[in-house]
Amino acid sequence: MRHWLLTLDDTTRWLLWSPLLLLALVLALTGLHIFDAASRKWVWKVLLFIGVTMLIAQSVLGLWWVPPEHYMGDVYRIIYMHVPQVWMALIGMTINFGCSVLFLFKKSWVTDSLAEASASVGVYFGAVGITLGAIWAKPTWGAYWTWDPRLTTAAIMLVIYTGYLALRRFVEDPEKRATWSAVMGIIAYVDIPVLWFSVKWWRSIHQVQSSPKTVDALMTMVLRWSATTFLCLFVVFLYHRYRQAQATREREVAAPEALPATISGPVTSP
Amino acid sequence: MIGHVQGGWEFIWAAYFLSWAGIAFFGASLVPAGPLQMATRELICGAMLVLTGFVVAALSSSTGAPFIDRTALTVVTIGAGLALLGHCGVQVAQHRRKEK
Repeated sequence: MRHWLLTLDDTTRWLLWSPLLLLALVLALTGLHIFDAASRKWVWKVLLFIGVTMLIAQSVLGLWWVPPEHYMGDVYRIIYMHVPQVWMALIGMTINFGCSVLFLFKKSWVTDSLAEASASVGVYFGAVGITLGAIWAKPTWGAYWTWDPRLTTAAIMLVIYTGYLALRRFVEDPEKRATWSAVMGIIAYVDIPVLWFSVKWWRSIHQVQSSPKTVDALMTMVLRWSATTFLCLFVVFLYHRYRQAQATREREVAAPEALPATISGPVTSP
Repeated sequence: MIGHVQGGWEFIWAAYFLSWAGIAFFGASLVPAGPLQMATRELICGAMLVLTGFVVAALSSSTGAPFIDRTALTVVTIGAGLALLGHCGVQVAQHRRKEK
């Protein structure tokens, strides 16, 4: 009997998994606050160790263990690095969007810092993911880059979110910076669903998302392993980047949660 | 898909090495460190990228990849590695100047 998840179409699965994944990430991040500072340090070290160990295993599995693909031969092995890193970029941008919306509803330095951290980590994974895509494109499509809808929307994502990070650097007033970047985070996110569905909406040289129904079980297993590996590293990177952002906020304002009740009020300097 | 792709290990190695170097460098950049520690990290990642460039160059010449492909991949990876090594050198020089 087929698993009920396999009977759903890709769009429904995506809509189903995204909120669950986000919820898990938020729980992972906030849940760690139940530990004291010393224990938390160990938790992150263990998570990093798991991530790095899984990365070593993932590289062995991806480079040698899985069989070559019928048409693309060995070159398809780039999928195990390219796809999960682009997924992490999309998760980063989605967290950024969630935090931006939350910030506009309830002003908090936590959501502002998390928005900054997620955009930063998302841009990193996006840049690497797109570069790996270009490397993969050369032997399979015959060109490193083509202005195809998927590639164009991915490039737009990278440019917009780099601009988002630049905006955060340019604005000195933390309160204005938080509000302006929250608005920009919401506007920038318009590109993400377009990027995801571009291969279905338009004729694209980029393949449509594969599903476990059409991919060999071994390849699916290694891809899932890779995704878990990068998710582990993503959470570690996100948390450390978040802490850096929070430390910056603490230097900028009297206390991390000291945003005034009314956004029009001045931020108290230490 | 028009035909079957043969070989291409230089592309695979370039992709994997870039990912490893990226994770090492981005991860290391998140841990607070002094200029010398940062320079050490850059040294390791830069050396890793330069090594990638040479691996790619060696593999691509053995697999007979087109000249422009192997040049592009080699130049990009070695260039990124040298940029990091250069920045590492600047960091160390600045640190020494401050110490004096």
